[in-house]
Amino acid sequence: MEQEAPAGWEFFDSVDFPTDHIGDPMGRPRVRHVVTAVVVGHEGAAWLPRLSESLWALNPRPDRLIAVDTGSTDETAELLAAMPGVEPVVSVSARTGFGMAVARGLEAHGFAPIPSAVGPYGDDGHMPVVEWLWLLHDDCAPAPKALEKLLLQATNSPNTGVWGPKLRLWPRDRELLEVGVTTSLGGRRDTGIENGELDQGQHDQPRNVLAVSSAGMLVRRDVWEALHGFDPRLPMFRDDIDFGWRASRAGYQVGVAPDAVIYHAQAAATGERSLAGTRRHAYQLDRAHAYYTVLANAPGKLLPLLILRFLFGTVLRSIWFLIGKTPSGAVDEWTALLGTLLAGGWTQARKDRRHLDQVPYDSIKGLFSRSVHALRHNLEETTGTISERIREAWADEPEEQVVTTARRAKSTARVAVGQPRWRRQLIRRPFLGAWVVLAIGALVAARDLIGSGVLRSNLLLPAHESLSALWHAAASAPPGVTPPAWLAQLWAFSTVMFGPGGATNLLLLGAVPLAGLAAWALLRAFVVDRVARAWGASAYGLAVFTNGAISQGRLGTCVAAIVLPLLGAAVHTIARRRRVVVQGSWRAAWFAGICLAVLVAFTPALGLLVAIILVFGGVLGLGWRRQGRQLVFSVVLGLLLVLPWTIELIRHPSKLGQEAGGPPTAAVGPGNSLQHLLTGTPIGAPAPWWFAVPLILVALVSLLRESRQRYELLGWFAALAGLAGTLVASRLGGGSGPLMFMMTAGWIITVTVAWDSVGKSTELIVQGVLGIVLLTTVVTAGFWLVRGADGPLWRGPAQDLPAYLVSSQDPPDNDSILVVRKAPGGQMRFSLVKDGGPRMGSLEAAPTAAQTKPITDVLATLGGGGSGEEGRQLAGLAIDYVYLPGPVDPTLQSTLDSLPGLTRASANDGDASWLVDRSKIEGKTPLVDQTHSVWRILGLIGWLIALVFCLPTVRRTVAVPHGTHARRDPR
Amino acid sequence: MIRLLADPRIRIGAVVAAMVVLAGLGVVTNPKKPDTKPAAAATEPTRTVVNRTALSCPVLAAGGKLTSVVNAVAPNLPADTPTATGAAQPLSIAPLPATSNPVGSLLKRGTIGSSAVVVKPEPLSIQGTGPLAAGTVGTSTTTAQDGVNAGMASTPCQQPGSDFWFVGASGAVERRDVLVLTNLDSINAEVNVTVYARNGQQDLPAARGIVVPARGTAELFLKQVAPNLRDIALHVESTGGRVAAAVRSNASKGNSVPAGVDWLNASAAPATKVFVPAVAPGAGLRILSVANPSDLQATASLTVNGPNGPFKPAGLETVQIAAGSVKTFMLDPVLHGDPSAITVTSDQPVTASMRVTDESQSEFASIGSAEALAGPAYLVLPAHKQPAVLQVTAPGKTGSVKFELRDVLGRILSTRALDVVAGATTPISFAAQPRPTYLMVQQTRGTVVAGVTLMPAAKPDKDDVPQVAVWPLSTSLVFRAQLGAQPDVSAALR
Repeated sequence: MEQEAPAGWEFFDSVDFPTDHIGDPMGRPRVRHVVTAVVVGHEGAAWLPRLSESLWALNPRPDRLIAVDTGSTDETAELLAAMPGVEPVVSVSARTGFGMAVARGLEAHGFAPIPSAVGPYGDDGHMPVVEWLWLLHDDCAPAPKALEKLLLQATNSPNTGVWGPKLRLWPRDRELLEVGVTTSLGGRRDTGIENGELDQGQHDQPRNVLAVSSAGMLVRRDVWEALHGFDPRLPMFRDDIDFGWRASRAGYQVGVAPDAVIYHAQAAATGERSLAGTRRHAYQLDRAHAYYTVLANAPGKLLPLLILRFLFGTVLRSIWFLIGKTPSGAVDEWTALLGTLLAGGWTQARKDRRHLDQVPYDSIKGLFSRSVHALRHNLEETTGTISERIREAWADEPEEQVVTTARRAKSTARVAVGQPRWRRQLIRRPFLGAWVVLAIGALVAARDLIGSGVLRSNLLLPAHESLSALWHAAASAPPGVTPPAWLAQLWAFSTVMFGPGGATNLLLLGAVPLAGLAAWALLRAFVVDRVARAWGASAYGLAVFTNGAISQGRLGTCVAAIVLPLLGAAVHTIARRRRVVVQGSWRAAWFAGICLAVLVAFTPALGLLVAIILVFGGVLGLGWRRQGRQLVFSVVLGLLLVLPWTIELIRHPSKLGQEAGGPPTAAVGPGNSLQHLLTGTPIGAPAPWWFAVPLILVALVSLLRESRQRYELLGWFAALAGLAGTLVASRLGGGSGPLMFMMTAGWIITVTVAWDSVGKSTELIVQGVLGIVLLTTVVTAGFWLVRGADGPLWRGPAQDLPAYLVSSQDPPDNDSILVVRKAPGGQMRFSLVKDGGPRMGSLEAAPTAAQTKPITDVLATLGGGGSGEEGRQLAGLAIDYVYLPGPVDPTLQSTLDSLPGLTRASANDGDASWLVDRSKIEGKTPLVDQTHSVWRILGLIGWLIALVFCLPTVRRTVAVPHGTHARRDPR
Repeated sequence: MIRLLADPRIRIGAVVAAMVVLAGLGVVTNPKKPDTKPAAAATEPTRTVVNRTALSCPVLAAGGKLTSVVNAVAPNLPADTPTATGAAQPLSIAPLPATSNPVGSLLKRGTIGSSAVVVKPEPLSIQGTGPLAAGTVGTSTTTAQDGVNAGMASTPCQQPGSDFWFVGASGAVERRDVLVLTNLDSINAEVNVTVYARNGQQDLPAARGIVVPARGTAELFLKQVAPNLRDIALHVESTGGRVAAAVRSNASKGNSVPAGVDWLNASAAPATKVFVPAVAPGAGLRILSVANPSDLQATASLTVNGPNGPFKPAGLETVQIAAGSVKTFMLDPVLHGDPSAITVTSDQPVTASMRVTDESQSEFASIGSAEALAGPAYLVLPAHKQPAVLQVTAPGKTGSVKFELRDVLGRILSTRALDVVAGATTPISFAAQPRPTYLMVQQTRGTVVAGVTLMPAAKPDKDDVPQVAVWPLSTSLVFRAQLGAQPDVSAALR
């Protein structure tokens, strides 16, 4: 706080300069105002000189100035004593509340005496006298005309007993703090002023309000005495609102005079001055006083509703605090509510205030803030908090921030001035442009896959019909079978992304832009050149296409492509060396664990490879210190979060070769082709393998550079690990689509880092090499746009049965249909279709051979000609229809035709269908799912804990009113 | 390590070396074929439990002095064959009506049970549930010394089904062929019969929509529905309910001299390669009928699988069979009385049968084409006065079979495992038996078809009535069923 300018009017606006006249424009008889001002000071040495100055400049000045010092340890008392015309300073203990201090000061010196009717300038005896009490804080400074304007308003509307000024920010800012204050019945203090709102005269209408701040509050003496001053139970927070509310109830209006300006330093609210040891309890105190104020003053008929509302609000806020990892906040909430409700003395206060009620509640109802406003404020505050925390999320290192900003500034230095705005934007944000191209391109590439129906391929079963079906499938499987873990995660994603079908569309068709976005988030951490970053992110997105993950409908690889960079970003946050004492980040470790859990669920092989790399890299590279432990922790967490699935993977290691979609995905890989193996392009991918060759060559060339080799070697390490994993997987008979994707990703990172370092170079060779890279990417992108939808992926109905059979699976029929497929001379393959047919995860959670044995037996006998009993046996298995899709095996068809108990039903062209007579046999289906409720609940708890721990911490924000005076907690 | 990598040459060298090593590993190792079957797919074939049996044993129409008997057995199965659990309940040999009393029963596995020998026969069935059901076979045999039924008519009891083919029937005046349809179930069945003749497929409304009453029989007299049509093929299809079909054939020479009676054994469903096994040795006519039920002319080629190997008879290397028609071939000049089998290869699916007569053409038998054996086949042989010959043919590569002949009480009379030279037919002769026996033939390697033939002695006694019979061998239901079915969720989707 600068200490210049002890005197001199230039401190104030010239318009604030006092005039020497309190005139009444209405021409009413003059009134003589006698003002007693009370200043309460506490550790206010920093602000008191300015208050002194403004009191000197004040005109008219208060007739008596009383100063109260509440046990300050600095020179507050001396500064108070130096104020113009001050009475001897009254000293009270540090635990005295504001209202009590004012009362003590008045006790010591009394109100200003009414001057003699006969003065030196004539006889004023006919003038009526009004006595006022003016309350001032030590960290406020009234403008010279403040008191004049207040008194002018008081003259104009004599019915108003309490006046308040307009509070603006110290020292002479235009930022508005308060123009009157009100409360909602929920207890929320509401000033009606936006945060940071500037005073442009928008509130300059004198009006009635519920209450005014105690800083600059002008109270008529009879009002003060009738109301017995401030409630001693409210030493801070809400004392002003309570006072104003009581005044309103008693029929004294409360007004605000916006012409009167007082600058306020908000020393307590901004934390420049501590709340004298109350910080820890400030939140609790605030809530408790809010409840007390409302309970003591609200009309009796509303009380039950209000208490319910308090309870509801407390529950919500407690949950918010628990999610935000601040359980003490929840404790504060409950102690405040219960303490006030059970022992707060509000019943006594109600009794005391009963005599006040002169005005019915309905006539002051308009003064309260509406609950909607409170809700809106809460929402704004919450979203504000969240966005602020997210901004903080990965940037919690101040000293590196500077470097980054400087480097970033350097990288944007080339931005051409004088270019059109959009071109400047494009140069400044090349990824934005690239991403828009990718997003539009995704729509163009998927042009044939947009429409009604569901996405299907031989590697992708139809998505579930509804969220509830997916929720059921996520934890249900035949006994002894573990449902795949990715269903639960897909369910969680579907809840926010338009259901299972929408989520599948988004993940598959939007995989390129989404993966690009995720890669951009990773590259931001260590790639400075924006063009390099944009190229890297776009090439990464296109790699999902060249891998064939989209056109083959491999959901697992698509999700892995999106999650992998996020995991990389989290690991980067943990593992990088920082110039701070505490290395690593536990929050990033939790996030890495979540990402790894997704990888293990969707692409077990890739998850395993990444887990091994993290554990060994963590322990060997970073040591068994904080960072290494964090990496190991994230791996353990990732394996725990998908728990029954982890056990399943250990018991059946062959499932490591599958990705989300079931056993057919195990066929994806390089096969016997060396070039496909070395270029990371699975057989069946839409792009030819040699598209990857320039990328690999450039990645090799980039190893020639000298600087920043760590990241390039890491990229190569990822590529080689993916290559080794692919080799192992394909030689053991597993699929390796995601592993081959990791190879491509590694090369892209290498090239991006190299580009970042040499991008500014003007050497012809460098430019040529980068040109080759760019050209390859552009060609690949063109290929993607044209051939993006070529492949096994198609959009069609979720079931290939006639409509009546599809609908018969729904309640009330709940029919089950035995679909039998038999190639001539081959084995019969069958599937029992019920509850919507085979959906995602059905292959992984297929019933065991023992469970399908009853059906297998019946069909096997039928295949051998049948014994005539099969009709009854099928009915006994609760099978309603038998369906043979074309081409129909004629022998089986004639066997079924002649089978007693079966009647031909209508079928699609080329197919055949029979209705099983179940009129006499109740039947019991052999395939009954078992719901793993325990795992589901454990999983939900685990994921909630993990999510809470990777979310930022919520801080208790104490809404300290701007006018709050600093003083100690009396308790 | 890190310091080493600081040199760009070493960096590149290390990376290239790693890729080369991995590529080399990729070259020297071979990818394993991925296991893309659903997890539940059974690795071993599913073995089904047959716990119910119902066989229809047709009988001749009364006429002359005949004796009729049904011999049946629940054979000894291989050790690991699953059978129904529970106490063994006897299988009954009984007339069709549900209220009728059994005329015989099977009490024990491995022991032949017989119905009482009757002179006025009625259709019988072998029915029952329980452990004895698996593999049960029976044979209905009628012998007569004179009259229209003179000779031997013997056929295995039939499993009801929905699709039967008969080739070599006739509606001509010297024949009296009757299609006998038997329904063992408790609901009526409906049957369509399609008739193919020399001049193509016949449009015969009377042969469609035949209702076979529950637990009853229906007969279709070919002379009435297809008068004067020779060499016809029948396709019997059930459109509802299961029936057992048999064609009874009484032949006569001239106008009234009986020329034997027998059952036309069913032929296999049409295929582009069909095998007619067990062409009996000895003198007499050998008439091969080939039916082409398709819409296109078939170009077929015949191969004779003789005892010394296969050969293509001159002039029959390529024969044309018009669409929907039946063609006959006299093969006795070609076969020279050797035990043989015939392989018909065609570009259209065809089916075939072989008619065998004795030297005097006073008795005949007919065998249809057969499917290759895929497991143990069982057959009950009635008492026979002449040696019965098991003829095993390996139409493709060399095959091998194992057979067991057991007597009434299940004792092994003869057992052997033998190889059959590629394309050749191996006859194994079983001595005459005064009591029924039963035979098990199991294919152990290669493609094998087999049948049993009975021919009169080369120099018969004067008062001997010639007995000609042929019994096909087909894989028992117990083992046919084990081709199995596989659960596969994606079977429900295209």
